[in-house]
Amino acid sequence: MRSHERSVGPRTEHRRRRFTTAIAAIAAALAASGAGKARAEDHKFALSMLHFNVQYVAGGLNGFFITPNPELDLSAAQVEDNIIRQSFEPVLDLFAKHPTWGIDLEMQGYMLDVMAERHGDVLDKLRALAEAGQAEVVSFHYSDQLFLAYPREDWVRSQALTAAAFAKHGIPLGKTVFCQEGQAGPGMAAAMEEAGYQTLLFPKNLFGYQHGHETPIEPLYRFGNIDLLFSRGTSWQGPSDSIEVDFWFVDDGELLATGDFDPYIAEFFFEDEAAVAEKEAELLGLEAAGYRIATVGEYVQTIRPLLEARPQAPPLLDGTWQPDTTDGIARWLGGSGIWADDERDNDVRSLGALAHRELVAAETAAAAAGLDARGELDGAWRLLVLGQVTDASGINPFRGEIEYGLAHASEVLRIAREVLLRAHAVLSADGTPLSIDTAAGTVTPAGPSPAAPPEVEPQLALGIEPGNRDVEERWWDLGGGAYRVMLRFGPSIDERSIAVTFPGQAGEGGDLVYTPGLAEAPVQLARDGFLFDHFQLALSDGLIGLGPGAFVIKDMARVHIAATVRRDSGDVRFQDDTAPYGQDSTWVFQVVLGDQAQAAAAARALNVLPTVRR
Amino acid sequence: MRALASLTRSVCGSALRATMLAALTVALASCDDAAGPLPRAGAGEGSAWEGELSAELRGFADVSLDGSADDAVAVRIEVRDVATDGLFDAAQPLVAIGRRERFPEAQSELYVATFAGVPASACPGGQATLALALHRRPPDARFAGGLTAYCGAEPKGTPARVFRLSGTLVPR
Repeated sequence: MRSHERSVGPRTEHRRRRFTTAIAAIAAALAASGAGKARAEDHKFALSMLHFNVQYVAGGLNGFFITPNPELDLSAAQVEDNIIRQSFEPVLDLFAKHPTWGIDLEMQGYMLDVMAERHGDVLDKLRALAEAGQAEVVSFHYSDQLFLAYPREDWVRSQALTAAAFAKHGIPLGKTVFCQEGQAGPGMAAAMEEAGYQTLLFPKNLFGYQHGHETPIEPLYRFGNIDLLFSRGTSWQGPSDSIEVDFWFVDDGELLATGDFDPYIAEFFFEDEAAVAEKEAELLGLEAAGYRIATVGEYVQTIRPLLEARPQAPPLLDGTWQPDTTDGIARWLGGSGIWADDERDNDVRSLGALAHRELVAAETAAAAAGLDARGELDGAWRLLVLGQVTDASGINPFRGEIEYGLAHASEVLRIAREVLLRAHAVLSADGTPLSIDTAAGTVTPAGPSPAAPPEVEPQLALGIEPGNRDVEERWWDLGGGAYRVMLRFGPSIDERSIAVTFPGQAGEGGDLVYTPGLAEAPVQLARDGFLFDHFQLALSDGLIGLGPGAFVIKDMARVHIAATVRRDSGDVRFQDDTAPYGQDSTWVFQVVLGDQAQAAAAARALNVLPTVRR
Repeated sequence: MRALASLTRSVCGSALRATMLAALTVALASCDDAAGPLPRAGAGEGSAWEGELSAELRGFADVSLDGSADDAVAVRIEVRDVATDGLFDAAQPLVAIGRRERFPEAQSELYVATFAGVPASACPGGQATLALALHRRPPDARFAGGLTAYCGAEPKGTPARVFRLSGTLVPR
């Protein structure tokens, strides 16, 4: 057995690698060799993770094809309905036929809401499987959002929406975690523990990219105070027990019952009974060979007592599940795809960051003013996490998905400003500007506008690659070793790529320093603990180290693209291959020449919990 | 079909590119404007704009924004060729006094307006409130955002739908 590679749609050319392993043949061979004759102490597990995404085409297919066609120009609701009826329900039906089989079904909380609204009978089927323990329903976020790229609070609100949806619809929320685009990283350990999750399924290719695809692995690891396993098969032999585990499916769940067609291909995205029958035969073969078709939760519960000491998980960086083919998370943060002309990753992601800032400011001001703005603010948080959907900037977003992200974030900004205006009327009757400190939760008169910081000469020699655009570089001294850096790239009629490299130091003192997604403080990791040549990081608070005493911080409302780090160099590079034609791109960073605590505080104050003047 | 879709889209992009090189101000109506050359507002940062945005990709919205010194903005928007799902009547222009919201630290501004009491057959009470939010990064003239439909008398809670708007407006 081996897990699926992700399959391909028009947006995911890398994914169409046919699942060539003949599971049934292998199972038969195992049975013939005697391997299938299980002793009582043999534990053979066949696991799965069917990743469903009801936002597979966020905003729907209208406009996807250049020529209007009513049969293919499906609305968002029609695409959602097809995902549920054509691809999700057949999987539920298959497993209902086999009560001894277990399955992991991952989805965003929003998918439950959609089912409750329009497909109650499917929700009932899911509930029956979940309550019987047959289906572990896995959900870590309400929207299939790029949560690694935004402050932790955005995920906190998203997870709360998910938990509420599961409770409202009576679906037990699984303790296992797998995420959209296989996002995973070290910051999830504490976040998962706090939210009551138990086990992270970490994508095998994200692990392999960091530590080698053939590196032997254990059946289970400690990950903070929770468990972690990789989505790759392995075996273990103890004094009297043995464990053999593999995955029969880790992929987009939409593909299983549709013969590998995805929802973009509306003309062929239908239940394929032969494909379902083929999968059923494979699983019957595995069962005959002694494998337990189980959930990840069952597996962990069974083997945990057998393992006297689970090893600590190796050092891990955060990323997505196919880093070899997407250049890590860069594909969502500056990388271009099939519809490259339409992409504008930095616009999408920086607007999401701006919306975060304004929303936390509005929430702080509303509380200080004693406003009853819960309805507006809760609605805005929901829109924010929907708008942070991964597909608005990758893998191959088409224009409709890009505009889905922009439209949702814009509406969040509107709501936040409406609430701020109301709070302002209460807190500042004469219209005096207010200083809203979202970290302290205080609102005070802002006083006179601060003097503009002095402009200074560049403090670092940046490697700027503007292509054929004009470029302007300016530095300001913010005091205390902090500097603001602005790079303004003028418009180009035919080039999309712009980049800057900040010089850094590797070697002694040149550890990787950054704040992982969902973490609230930087980590420091030795580069030689990894095998990659280069790695792409989202930087959820914008911070990354340049070596001893030097840090760069993205002003995420101005520039929010991936940082590329290398194993053998301390340089940090930011590259956007989606800078729009005919438009300026102005990037703003802070450089901190000081200690890590100072830099971390600056990053939080800029991107996570800012003080804003309104 | 996928290959055809890919081809048609990529041909459109190439055509746009060629057009740009030949005459920077010409756009193909059948292609989205995101790839096209964009007129820039220049140094003048006025708040009076007009023009046509794309609405839900295949439709259009005629938009007029007429700002004043206090950042109040007279907004008029008329949507064409969009399935409004009973949330508003596309034949009726939406008119309101909105605002221009500034985000100087983020090189951003937002044009907002709400349209209350809009007849909406899809809403339980028969009325919707629409909220316009259009984001722009000066000095460029590209706007992107949406018209969000909320059933009821207030633009809050879970919206019935977010209609996407994008494109370039020209300064008046």
